[in-house]
Amino acid sequence: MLLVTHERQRQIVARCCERAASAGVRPGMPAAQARALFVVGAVRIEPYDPETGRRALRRLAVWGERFSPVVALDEPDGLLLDVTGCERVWAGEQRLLHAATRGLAALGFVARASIAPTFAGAWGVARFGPKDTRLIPQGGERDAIAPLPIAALQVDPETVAQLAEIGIERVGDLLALPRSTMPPRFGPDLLLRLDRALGQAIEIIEPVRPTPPPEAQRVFEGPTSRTDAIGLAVRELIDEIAGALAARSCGARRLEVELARSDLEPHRLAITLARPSRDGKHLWALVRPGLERAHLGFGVEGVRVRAPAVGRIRHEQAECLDAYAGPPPAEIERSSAELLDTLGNRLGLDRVLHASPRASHLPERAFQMRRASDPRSAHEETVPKDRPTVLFDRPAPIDVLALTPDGPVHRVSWRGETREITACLGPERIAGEWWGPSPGGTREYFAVRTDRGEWLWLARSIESRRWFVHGVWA
Amino acid sequence: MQSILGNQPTAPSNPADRILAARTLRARFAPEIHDPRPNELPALAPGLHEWFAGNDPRGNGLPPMSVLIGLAWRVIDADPGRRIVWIGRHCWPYPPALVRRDPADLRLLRCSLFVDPASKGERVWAIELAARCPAVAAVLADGAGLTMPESRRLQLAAGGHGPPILLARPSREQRELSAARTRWRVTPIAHEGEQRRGWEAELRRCKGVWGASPREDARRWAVWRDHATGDTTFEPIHQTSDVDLAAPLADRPHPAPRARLA
Repeated sequence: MLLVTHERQRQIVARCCERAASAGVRPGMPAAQARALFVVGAVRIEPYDPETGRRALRRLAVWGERFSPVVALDEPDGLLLDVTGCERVWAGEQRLLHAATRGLAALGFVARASIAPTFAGAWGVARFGPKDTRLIPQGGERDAIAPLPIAALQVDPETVAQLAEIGIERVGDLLALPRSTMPPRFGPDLLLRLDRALGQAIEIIEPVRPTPPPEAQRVFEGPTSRTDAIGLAVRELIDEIAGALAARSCGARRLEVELARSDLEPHRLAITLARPSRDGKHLWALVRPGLERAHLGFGVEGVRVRAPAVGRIRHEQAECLDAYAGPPPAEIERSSAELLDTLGNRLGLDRVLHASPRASHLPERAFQMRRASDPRSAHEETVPKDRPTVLFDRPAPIDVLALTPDGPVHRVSWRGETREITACLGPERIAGEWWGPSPGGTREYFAVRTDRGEWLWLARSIESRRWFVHGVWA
Repeated sequence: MQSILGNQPTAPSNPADRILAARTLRARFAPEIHDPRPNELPALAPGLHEWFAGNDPRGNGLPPMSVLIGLAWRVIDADPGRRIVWIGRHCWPYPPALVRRDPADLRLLRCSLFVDPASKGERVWAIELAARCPAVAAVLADGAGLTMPESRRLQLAAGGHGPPILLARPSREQRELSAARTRWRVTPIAHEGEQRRGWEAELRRCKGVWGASPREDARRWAVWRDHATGDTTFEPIHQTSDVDLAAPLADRPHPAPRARLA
């Protein structure tokens, strides 16, 4: 994967993946030259969008707050975390370091990380050190940075080139020089960078401040148990939240309403939405049933509404109104999401489902039911074989008569009735999955037609030799 | 009597004209069965449609799922981009049966939403909610135990412009009162071929059609599900002249005088 930018009517590589880097691609290289390093079709080239990368890095910084409350961006591709004191939570700095790198790997990132007494030291060791992860103990920063190249001090390339001209290529060489000779020859910045790496100068980072979730509350003059007054207050607070979400170009994915009861603990209502929404009417329609059922005790002193989970709502081009073309796709999508929200919040999210095929030969595992409100989509596109339209959760035992052992089915007795078989298709042998438990074992399936025209899906267990009806073409 | 009713419209005496007049009336009062396309099913018109599996003697058998899946495919083919909502676990199809195989087509599976209400009240509420949603192309639901007021409520929800609501009802409820627009019975067809599976869908009742009993005016379709492709086709079996008009008004014949016994 190459991300390219345009310079003087040429495509220049701005970023590349790990595999491309190992093949010799470097940022700044012409895209044509980078493409020549791969076979045709093996490289994917996309335009480089710095803003997208910045947003992704910011999201990653928010994710990194699980390791430290102070996380700063080191653009374009780094994060700085102040983990002072956090090692107690993780039972040591080494564990914290491994947890962070494992988490990043799980997200699909290739990461190098280091913990050091100074930010500059950690930066240099992580980017130019010999190992992917390294822990520098207190007082060991001088020894850690000494073998690193000068670029590990974050100095500008011109200074690096000037130092290289006089044979200074490592930080250790620079440490051997008298401090007083550096500023006149290379400027004050070099000495400042060196002092920061050694902990002799202060380095200040600007942490990412996560935006607090939209929240609104109202306190009544006294406890009230009037549901209409409480409902009106909640409705107004929802509209207020919707306004705040509109200002952020966001919608609520989860909304919480808290009723502060005078004599009991606060009563909390929570709704989950399938799609971000800031439609006050829709949000109120979801909240209202729970509010009507709420136990108010001796009265409610105040209400608070907050949206702890929000999602971005993309701006959409308004479509031409066409009375004959039906509602526009955006309107259908919005209505569909509202239907999911209403069903899910009343019946329960586990009772509103989508089905997706799975790559399994076992009929009972050939599909997967998942919550319809789950934003993740199924990726498998398996096309199943001809299967009955109704599959029984538990296969029903059936008595079968075959003229010859292992021969076609001749007659069945099911549900107290005997039926002649006029057609028999099969067998289709389905074995259990060796990599996991398969309760049914190996089975042979037959599609049979009775003299009444019904089609049954019969299964014969190879181990127990018993017959079952597993499904029906109803 | 004849002279008093002389200005009233009467049915034409010519059979061809009578059929034409019947079709005109049918187009006015029951447009869903007056369709120039011979294969079009009135079950896809907006409104409530009830489906019974007619072969189960105990009356609590499985819903006619193959026919319902075929109807869902027809809805999706005509109106892609909207949802098909299956309400009631008893009415859920086996998901792999929602896939066409040749060519591979997973549209119905992708747009299907499976809802599992815990009670009958929640089931009726969910059907009504889905019927009023503009993003829903069809609602296929378990209609067991539905009362007349509930069916009327659903019929009103579907209205004249809503999606079709296809209710799968147990055959023991065939005599229950209902406000459904059409009522169907499905029985398997015992045929010879093995490459496809067949059912007969019989239109037992169609509201708005008067002057003829459902039994005499039955319309039947053969529903074939192809073994290889998973595709479902509907073929009309019997196209009658359908709705006939009442006979021309006339005086009743005078009854024969009773013989006096005493």
